[in-house]
Amino acid sequence: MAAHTYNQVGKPIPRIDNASKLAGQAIFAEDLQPAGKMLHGLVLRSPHPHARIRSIDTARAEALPGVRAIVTAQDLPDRLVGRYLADERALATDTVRFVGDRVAAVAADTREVAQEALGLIDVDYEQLPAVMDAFDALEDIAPLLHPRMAEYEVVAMAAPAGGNICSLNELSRGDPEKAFAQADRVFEEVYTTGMVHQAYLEPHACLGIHNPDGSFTVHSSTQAPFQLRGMIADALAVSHNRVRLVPTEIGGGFGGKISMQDEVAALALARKSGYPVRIVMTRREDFLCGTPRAGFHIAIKTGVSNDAKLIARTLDILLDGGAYAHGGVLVSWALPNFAEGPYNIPHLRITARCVYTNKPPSSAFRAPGGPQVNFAIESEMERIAAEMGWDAVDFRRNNLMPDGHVSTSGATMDCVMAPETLDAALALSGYKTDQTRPAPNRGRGLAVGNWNVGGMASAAVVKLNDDGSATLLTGVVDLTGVHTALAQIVAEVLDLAMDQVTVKTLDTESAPHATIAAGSQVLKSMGDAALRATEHVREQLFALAVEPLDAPPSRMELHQGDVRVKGAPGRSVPVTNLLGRAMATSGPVVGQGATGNYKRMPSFGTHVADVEVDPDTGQVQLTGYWASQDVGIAVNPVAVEGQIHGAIVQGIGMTLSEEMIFHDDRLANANFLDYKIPSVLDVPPIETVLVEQPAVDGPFGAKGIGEPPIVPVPAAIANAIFHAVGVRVTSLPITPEKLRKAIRAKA
Amino acid sequence: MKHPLSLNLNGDMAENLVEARTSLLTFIRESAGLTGTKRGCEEGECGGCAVLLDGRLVDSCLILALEAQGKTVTTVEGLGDPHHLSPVQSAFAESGASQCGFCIPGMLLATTALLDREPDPDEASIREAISGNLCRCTGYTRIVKAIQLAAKLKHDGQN
Repeated sequence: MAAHTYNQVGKPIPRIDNASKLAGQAIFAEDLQPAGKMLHGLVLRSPHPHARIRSIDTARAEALPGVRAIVTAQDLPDRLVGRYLADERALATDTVRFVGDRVAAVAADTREVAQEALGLIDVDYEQLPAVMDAFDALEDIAPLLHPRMAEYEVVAMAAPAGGNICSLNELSRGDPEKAFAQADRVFEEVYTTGMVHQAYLEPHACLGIHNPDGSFTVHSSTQAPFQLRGMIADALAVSHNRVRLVPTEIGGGFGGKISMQDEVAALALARKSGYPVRIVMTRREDFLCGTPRAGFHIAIKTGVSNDAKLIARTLDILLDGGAYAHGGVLVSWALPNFAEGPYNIPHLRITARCVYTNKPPSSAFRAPGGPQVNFAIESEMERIAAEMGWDAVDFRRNNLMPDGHVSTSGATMDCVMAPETLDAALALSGYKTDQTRPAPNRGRGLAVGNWNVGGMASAAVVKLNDDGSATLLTGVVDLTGVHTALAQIVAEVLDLAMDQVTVKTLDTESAPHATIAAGSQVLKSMGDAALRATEHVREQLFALAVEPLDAPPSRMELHQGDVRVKGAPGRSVPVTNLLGRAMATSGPVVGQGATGNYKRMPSFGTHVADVEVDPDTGQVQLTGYWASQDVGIAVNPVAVEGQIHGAIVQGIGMTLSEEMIFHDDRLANANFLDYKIPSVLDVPPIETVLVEQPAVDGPFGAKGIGEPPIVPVPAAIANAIFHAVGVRVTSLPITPEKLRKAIRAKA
Repeated sequence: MKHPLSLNLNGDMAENLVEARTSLLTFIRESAGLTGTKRGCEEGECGGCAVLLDGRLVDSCLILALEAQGKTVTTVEGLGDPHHLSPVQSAFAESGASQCGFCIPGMLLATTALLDREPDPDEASIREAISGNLCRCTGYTRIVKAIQLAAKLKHDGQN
């Protein structure tokens, strides 16, 4: 473990937003109340999974008293937009592709009037055959959901491959087929996972304003202010400076608040009505129109040698991308980079196909693709070990990737902490490699997870106030407590107390560009930008101190409001004096810092789960949970542990209960009663251990933490169930129905 | 048709005309302007809108505003302001129990109701008390710890 010698970094500092949130004063998007009149907007959404729009008649709705504006695609420029593939419209023109697709929007004096008006809009649909299964989408006879896909602009990463395949990505090394032929044993299995919703507690909401100068302001509960600003401006066919996106407090995102939702509809309504328009989704709308985790179909084939070595593997992964190419395309692109798992396999091929279906567009959800693939990989490790008569932990240890491993994508993996996290979890849980069941129907399972935490560009500004306190100006929103960590970084460099640092989230008009709050990257990306901006401030202070201290900057340090000469505490000058001097000469002290796109870093964690299974009902009760996580350096250990807890419980949900179920081509469980996320009663005691080894890169050696701890959860639980009752359910979620059936089939 | 409504909201009288169908949640947020009470599902499944009605924990989305006629309603704003947090709020802050914060008002009121009737709850009681409040961020672990601390802080405060 690394020894910390910092004043702020590494300390369990309480979140800086605690007072406002705990007093109910944090302003979320639905809480916004502009001065003057505001209209309530609602969106008319397609009731059909796939249909052609023959006509839309809004006359009856417009005649309803209290209705102020109705917009359809005719009120918008003819623009296709998208983050990866420009394949969708803010409002549908001639085709709708999932139940929930936006068709029209209404603004009215009250929500009730808007609701009534929706029912008065007459849309003539010609229903088309729907594709509700990813395999069906691959059939030659499948209807093409985007017949003009070849003409779509590839914005980033997408690799359209014809038919309904909106992205096809493959990486390989060696010759897997030849190696399978030479392997002592070959194992094949298919694993599937359900489509799961982020189920953040705050439904999507936005407030659109058309400004007097013709520009637009939109407040939105978003993880991605700059990316969303660009999409909105593109959909409105205005330059990006003409849209000011103001991020609000965000009531949970987990990847589900990156895509564009109703923002353009709200702005079009505001423009047409002349009033600010707020659109708040209901929980049902959010289930229908959110951007869930893609369901996966994973065919995994593994060749091993008799000395317990992984020789060869192929992974053929089919992703249900839903109606439009949102983050599913990103996942398809990223899969070959992480799906090798934590192991070194000489002969490997990873194929990912993301296909269009008439379901909600799937996108990012905490380590998108990670837990699905790990479920297959780590279930197989346990199964293979059992069938070969090997110790499953030794089998893993024998094959873990070494430090400096070169991944399938050609990236060198630095700071590989896989063995360390494995050892830490074994120690924490008191894991015995002897797999003897502790009691009937009780079992313990383990899984090693890997994820690459990443990497996009950010800039930040730090300004010194006239008393030497500091304000960090940033355009990144805070999902995880990362603003507190950013404040700790600034305070550390300037040797300030926490209450001498303010972190201010600015809108896209006033903040320098910021990365999205996703991908476990804010601490690294904005953290580096903030660190460099703060160091820029320090450089300026040291330059100002050269004359009064008669020493070079290399000999200076900041100490509690003074710049002093190292080793000579008597030789110091107050920062406030230097700031006064600056005002008379060079001007106010403002620091700038930026970081470009950077290499993603591997991150590892090992989880151990204890379960008790009721063989009569198939009900699984988690009785204990232990997790180790490689974190580089924990800038704020309380926040880090909170991320691990949250990820584990979301992982428990996708493993045991959560799945979006489609009956008759329609989502059948669009509410929290039927779509069951874990309550406190489903959560076992959780113990965590942080494995700290400073990363070669990253502020103070920190690594991103938001996503990785969800990766090993499904496999750890599935392996525990296997050891409890000797059966393996290969499809998530492992519902009581499935498990009971599997137990009966075995008996 | 609107009906006159008068109730005690966090110690102050709140009066307005409301439709018969208006929920207590809508009254609190839109008529009284207190937005700390959260609208998470409007179906009584998430607990984000939980308030105390005459000291009893209810989902305000499931209660008609007129049902609160003449009664006392406590929302998160009635527990303590940012500069004077109640022991329950302070315990959540100290324990790192709040992440996105959206479920927290409901959690705080569920905790307050619990500690009012059971000052020294065991962990099972704590879990039962917040089982109607969903949280998607924290995994509940630190919330349970916060409630244990809250019980201690309240106890200490009374001695």
